[in-house]
Amino acid sequence: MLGLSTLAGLVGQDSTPNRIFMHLYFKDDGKLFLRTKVSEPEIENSYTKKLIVPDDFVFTKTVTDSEFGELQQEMNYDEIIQALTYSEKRAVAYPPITDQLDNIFHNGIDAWKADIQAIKDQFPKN
Amino acid sequence: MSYIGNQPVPQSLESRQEFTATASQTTFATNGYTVGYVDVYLNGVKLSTSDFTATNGSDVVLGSGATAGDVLAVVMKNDHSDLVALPITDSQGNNVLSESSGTVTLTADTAIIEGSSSGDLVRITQTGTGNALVVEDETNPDSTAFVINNVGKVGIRKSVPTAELDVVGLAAFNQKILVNGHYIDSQTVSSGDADDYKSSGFYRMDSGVSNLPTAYIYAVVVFGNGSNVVTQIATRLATTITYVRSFNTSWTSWARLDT
Repeated sequence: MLGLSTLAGLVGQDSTPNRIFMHLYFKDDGKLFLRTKVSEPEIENSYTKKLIVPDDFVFTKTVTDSEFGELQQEMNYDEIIQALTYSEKRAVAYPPITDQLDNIFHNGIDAWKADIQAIKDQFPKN
Repeated sequence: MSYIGNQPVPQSLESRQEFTATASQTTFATNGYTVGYVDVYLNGVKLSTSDFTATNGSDVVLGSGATAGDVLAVVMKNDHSDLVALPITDSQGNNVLSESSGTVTLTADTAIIEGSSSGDLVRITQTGTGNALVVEDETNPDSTAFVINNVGKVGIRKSVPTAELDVVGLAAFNQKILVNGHYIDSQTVSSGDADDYKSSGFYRMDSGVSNLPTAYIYAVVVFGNGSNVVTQIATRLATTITYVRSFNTSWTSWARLDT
């Protein structure tokens, strides 16, 4: 199970143009409570469990209801962490392209590669 | 002469029946009388009430048998309980209750119908096509009257109701209204839990309400059947920041729509 600390790269990053993420805020019991494509600074401190995932991340699962048949039910905090692929985690953790270019300009390719490699190491291929 | 209540037959304050007795006849069957309102004459002589019995509403029974050929006359008086001649006037001679061409008019500052019964206290039976009840202002006919028509449709300021309840003007309710078994509500909510609002309605929910997207004032629109088919749309006051969520077996998360 990935802990909150290992997902530091998934938390707290702001969306920038061309990088649309979904900010997920969970109740203490892990139930997803609020999701938004922009960060909600006013409530950041109200939640201990929060994630940033790619906008196209599917955070629902199919369940069968006796009356309504198949329903899409939202996954909880632990289930979402389990469902995130390494590439989705990396996608959120990579700095914006503009920041990466700026890093190359100021620090060179090797420094940039080191930063990227650190993220790849943090979220290795399964 | 006009009457209130059942028109008596015969139409008079009293009626008289005569019988020619057979030998030793004691029981004479009348057309009916009100107990206590019967006088009996035998051959023209009024009998004392101790000489006969008239307690079942139909028979007059003599204490001793009559002689054949005796003429027994029974005078049955009306107790006036179902007979009132119109008009009825007050002490100044003004009509209180009057009749003209089949229309009975009650003129009073206040008319009270009072009773204590398990049945209908007031029943209006309209078998024709006209309205059963019309409440007008000083204008007659009043096009903005309160009307109950002959099939029970109610018009409020609508003289010809086209629906079961047809209201022209503002309708005020201080409770939910029930539409096809589902409630519609509107209120300001200052505390409690937004999760509990599953009936259709329009709400202002203050920051003290739990499970709002954030701790601000929201205008919340609910589309719901009160149980397991519910959608809530919440817009933060004075902004376009809008969230939506739904409920089936549990609430989904609030999803922000304006981004």
